[in-house]
Amino acid sequence: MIRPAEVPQRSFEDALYLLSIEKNMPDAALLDEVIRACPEFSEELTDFAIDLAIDRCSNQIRDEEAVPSMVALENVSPAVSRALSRFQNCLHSVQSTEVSGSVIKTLHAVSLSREAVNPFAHLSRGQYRDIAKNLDVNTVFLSKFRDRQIVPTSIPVAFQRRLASEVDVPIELLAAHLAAAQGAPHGQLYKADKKPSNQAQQSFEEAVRGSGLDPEQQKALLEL
Amino acid sequence: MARALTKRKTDGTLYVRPTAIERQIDEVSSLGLLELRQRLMVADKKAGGYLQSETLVHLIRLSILENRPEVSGTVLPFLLGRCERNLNVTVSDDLRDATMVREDILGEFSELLALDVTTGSGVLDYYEVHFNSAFAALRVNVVRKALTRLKYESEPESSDLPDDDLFGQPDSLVKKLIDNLSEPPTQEWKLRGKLLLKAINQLPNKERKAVMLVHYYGYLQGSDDPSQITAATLCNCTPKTIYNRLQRAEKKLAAFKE
Repeated sequence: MIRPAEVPQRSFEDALYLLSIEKNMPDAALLDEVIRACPEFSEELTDFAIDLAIDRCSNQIRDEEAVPSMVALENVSPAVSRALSRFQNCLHSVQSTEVSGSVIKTLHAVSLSREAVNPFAHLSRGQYRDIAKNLDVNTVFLSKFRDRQIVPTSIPVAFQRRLASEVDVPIELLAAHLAAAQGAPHGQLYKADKKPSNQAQQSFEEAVRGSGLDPEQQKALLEL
Repeated sequence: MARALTKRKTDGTLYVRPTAIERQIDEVSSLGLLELRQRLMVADKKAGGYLQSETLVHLIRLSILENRPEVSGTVLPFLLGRCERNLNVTVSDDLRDATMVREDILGEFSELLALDVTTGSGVLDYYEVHFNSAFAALRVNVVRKALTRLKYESEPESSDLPDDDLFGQPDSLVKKLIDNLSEPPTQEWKLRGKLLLKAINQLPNKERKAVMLVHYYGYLQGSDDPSQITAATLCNCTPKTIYNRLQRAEKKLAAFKE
């Protein structure tokens, strides 16, 4: 066994998988353990654990899947066909994007630590406003992505793609930023009397509804 | 021998593939495309030649890493077909937009496969250890997101119910039913279980959470010990609120007392 100090920080995604694969039926001991490892996600993990338990209970009483016929195996359904296209498009976009060695290094480092490059850091105020305008959102909403105030897994992939494209970074780099720990970068100056502290993360939907966006903007974002 | 996994368990030790999967990976790594395809056509999970989904994930990862698109092109449609069949039974038609949600899950899984090698996230390690459980995590999470989009219920808190038995674990019929779900003795129990789960799923979120935390996970409603994790601490409310939510849920699930 390795010492606690050597255990890398876990992402929210890791915590979900741990809850799901460590035991056949999730129990309180496992949930406690995962929540203690990721206290910042305790509410989301609890909600997930409830749904996971119901899913597992359903599996227990579900009839066994029938063995598919040879014809069913040979046929590629429209849904699988679309998923294959999504795989190819994603692979192509990743392979054709000129991801520099330093970006790759950053991405690997993110999985080991909680530090990540903030792709918004280099933007001027004008650029920042232009990005918000191009995305048809306001700067309040955009700032929630910059400051990692949104639960990353709740952000639709389509919006992540648009945001990455506007900020002009590979989607993996944006995803790494969104998944990294909250908090002001070292050396950041602040005007408030008190040092800024981490805020509880919101879901994408909560951010959409709580950022002063007009109803049309909200509708468009929630349909993504 | 397949390369080692990098993800760690809750105790900090590295995950390893089950021995049977390691053995199968060794076995199929020498197969040509034609033989591989023949093996993929074995559909019966109990048949000797059946390739486990964990093995298929490994083959796809390796083919992307080694730039052998012909392997991923052969294996991926079979793996996605399995996922689709799984989703057809696990994502209920009762869910609004069920078809779209199933497609979202398939799509997200495809992207996961495509991005894993490039980003070095290692998330597919989980799928090489226990595919069905890992896929269930993805499925449950996507369904949850879909439900969040669809469901905007606001649940009024009531505080006028009596607070006797506050810290007791009620000998609830719901608990008995949940306990019996793990080993349903008869078809009748299966049917009863299905109806119960459907009813629990239809409870307002806060009541459903209280029912599952107390009756499935076995948490106390509350405790005098501030360091103890209880249903109240997990729901960020008082033990009395948990008690009230349980009372309301029990009333709605009263049909199962027959």
